Amino acid sequence: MTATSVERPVSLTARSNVLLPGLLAWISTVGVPAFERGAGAGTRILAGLALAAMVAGPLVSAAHPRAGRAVGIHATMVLCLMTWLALGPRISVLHLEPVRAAIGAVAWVFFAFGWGAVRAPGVPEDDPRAIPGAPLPARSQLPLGATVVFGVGLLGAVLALLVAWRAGRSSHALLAHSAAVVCAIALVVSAAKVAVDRQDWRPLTPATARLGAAVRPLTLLAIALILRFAWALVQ
Amino acid sequence: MARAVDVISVLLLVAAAGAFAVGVSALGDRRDLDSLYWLVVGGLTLRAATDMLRPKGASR
Repeated sequence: MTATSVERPVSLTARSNVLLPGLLAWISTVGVPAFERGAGAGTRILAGLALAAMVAGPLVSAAHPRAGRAVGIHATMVLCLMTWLALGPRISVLHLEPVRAAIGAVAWVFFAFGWGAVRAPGVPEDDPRAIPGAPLPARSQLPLGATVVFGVGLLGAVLALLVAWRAGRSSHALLAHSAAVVCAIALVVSAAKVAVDRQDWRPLTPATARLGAAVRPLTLLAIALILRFAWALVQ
Repeated sequence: MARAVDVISVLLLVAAAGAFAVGVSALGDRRDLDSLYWLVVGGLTLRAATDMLRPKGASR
């Protein structure tokens, strides 16, 4: 089997990973509203161009990776944004069809992941370019309880995302979900830092210096809590 | 003492998760000011949790 015949299915898989979710996302969030009755011709042209860029990107990226990414990601997103701006109130929260919007949101996530790259399957040491020798040991280990700390952050993120579904008002529901996503990202990132950046595996810093580094947010936090307490007393 | 600071950092992370959940929940209960307050408190708590991990000038 030649190298070209081995690479072709991988390339096709990579293209499918981008194209299939991309097409689903385009149909559910761009195509359907743009080609509904009443939408302008300019909007439809923009939507069509977005689709063309989305399909062209993965095809071009095989020969010209940089140009392919520019067309497949940046041009596609700019054209989709222009289509949404041209649609205006036709895609306001009140007009959204929730299931289609949810499918579109998930499809856009997979479209983004599809443009990423993962390690090729197989044992890395079997690669002919691998340097032979004893495996390199890790220079350090994770601090004690790192998995638990990260799990706490992950649970907090899931909790925020679940609580967002309690919002009943449509306009506030969108805000609640946006806030929940931001909170979830912040929690997961911070949990990862707290989990691995504790002082078990590098020269210790005096505890007072560590507390001193956090004095500004801690002071603001104390002021906020005192104000809240005072407000509760007044009421 | 270093271990105690680690524990405080983890507790602040848990408190931040709770504050965020209360903030988002308040948004659903039509308590917009409460929501804003708890989201800000969550942000400050999270900032404090991560700031005490990497003091400025500490050896990396």
